[in-house]
Amino acid sequence: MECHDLTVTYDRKPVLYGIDCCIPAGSLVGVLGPNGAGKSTLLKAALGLIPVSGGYVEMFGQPQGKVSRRVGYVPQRESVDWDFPVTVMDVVLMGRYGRLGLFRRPRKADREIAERSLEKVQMLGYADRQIGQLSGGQQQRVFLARALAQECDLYLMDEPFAAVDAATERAVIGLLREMRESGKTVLVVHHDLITAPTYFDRLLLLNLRCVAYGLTSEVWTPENLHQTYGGQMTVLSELALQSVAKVH
Amino acid sequence: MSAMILAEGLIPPFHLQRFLRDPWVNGAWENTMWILLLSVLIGLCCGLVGNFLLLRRMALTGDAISHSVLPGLVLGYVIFDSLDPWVMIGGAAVAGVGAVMLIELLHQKSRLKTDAATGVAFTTFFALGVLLIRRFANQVHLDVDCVLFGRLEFTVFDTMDTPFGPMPVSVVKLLWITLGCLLLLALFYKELLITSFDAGLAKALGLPSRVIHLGLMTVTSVIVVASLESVGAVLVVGMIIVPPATARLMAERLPRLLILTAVLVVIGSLLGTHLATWLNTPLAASIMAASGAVFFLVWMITWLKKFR
Repeated sequence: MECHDLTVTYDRKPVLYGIDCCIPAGSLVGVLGPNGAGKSTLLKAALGLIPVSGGYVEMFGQPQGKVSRRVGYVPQRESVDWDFPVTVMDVVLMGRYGRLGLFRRPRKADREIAERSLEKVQMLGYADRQIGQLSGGQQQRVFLARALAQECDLYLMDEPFAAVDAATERAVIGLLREMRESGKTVLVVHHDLITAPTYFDRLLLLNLRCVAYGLTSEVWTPENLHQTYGGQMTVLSELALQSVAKVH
Repeated sequence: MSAMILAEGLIPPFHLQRFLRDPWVNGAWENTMWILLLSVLIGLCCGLVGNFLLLRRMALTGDAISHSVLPGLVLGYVIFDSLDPWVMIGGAAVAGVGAVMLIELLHQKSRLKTDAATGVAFTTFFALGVLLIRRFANQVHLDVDCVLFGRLEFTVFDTMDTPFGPMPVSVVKLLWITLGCLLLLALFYKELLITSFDAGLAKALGLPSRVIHLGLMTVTSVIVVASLESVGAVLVVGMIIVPPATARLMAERLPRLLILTAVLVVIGSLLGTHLATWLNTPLAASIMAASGAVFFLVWMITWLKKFR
């Protein structure tokens, strides 16, 4: 996936400005930045969900619209209504819809793929539950299973670690690493500065513009973090700075 | 004491015979049957789209559309000089979808939120419709009372010949529309489901969510205008919202929700028709009142269940 001079504006105010990056296949990339830095906006613009006012994004050397089947998306958990009258299985099957085409119903093969995806996130036992009965971590895993069912090569995930329990967090990072081993590219919006350097091989530090992008060992420096978080340094980010010392 | 007299004046004494038997005795049964069939068909169409509108948190868009179709109806009549139902339906669909697009445009291009934008668009459209009716009053056989409250009891008198013998025109019209709705639902079920649940994913998957959205709005406009003549603009909204809302209290899965809506529509229509005979009240309003009563009954039961 490549971004060239990507710019997005809301009401003429730039919320992302001149993003340039090239993400090689088979990498696990963390996108970090303070609130309002444009992390989610970057994903949405890359997926064509919001209009881009300048620059372009290419995936597999082509514009996103042409390769939408090869790109999986995990939106923020709060972006949907969890009271919606569908079961876990229904949600995971939605991952297959892009491949089905008009007028086609999911078939047995699609169900098997959905079941396998649920198994990978240890949620197969919940297939017939209504989604409102799930805990936050379980909801997040259902979203991941849905993305897996899409069977893509590139995944864009918006805060899959937000407000999940420790077990889910371990399961998710295990899964992400497994995906990387099998050659998939995964881009993850993340906000935990403590775990970030250990989870990802590449980092994209974002604050309206791209502060730094590259291999974690090169990018993870106190200067870059200060530049990204500026005055918004919190206790957490201070802790992260200490972890920088450990990395180097 | 006076309260009792008041109650007696308001509610005629309950005769089981008058409530249950009268609608079905010799002279009346055929009429009752057509009215019942018509209101069930209207309820089915409205309930079908209503479920999806509710799931998209667009319940009041149904309200907006039901009022916005009016200028389309009148203009359709004035331009094509015909009361052909398909001209009316076409005009209404254009006006309905136009109003929805105006709401979206207002929302995007101003600081108004959708509720305010909806309020501005549909009241303006409706007022425009009333002005047009009055302006072309001598040419248009539409009256505002009918648009607002409908006249379910009279629509069944206007019959036409069909292979199955004479049938009321409105029943034939609604039969076609119901069949069309069921067909569209079967064809686009998964698209409707995914765009209602997670529009972002639908777009990312490359599904035509915009087309689906506008399609749903068009179908809603068509249904609204087809039902308008019988039940009126205000009660169309009730038909769109109340049975699906009742079903939502009971069902956790969409297919079950749709089936339950259909069952509730039949119950509401039956109860309403009988209620209308007993109380001698307008049919459309009686059916709506019965559906409302069923809603509150179901709500109380589900609420009490929580304490057990």
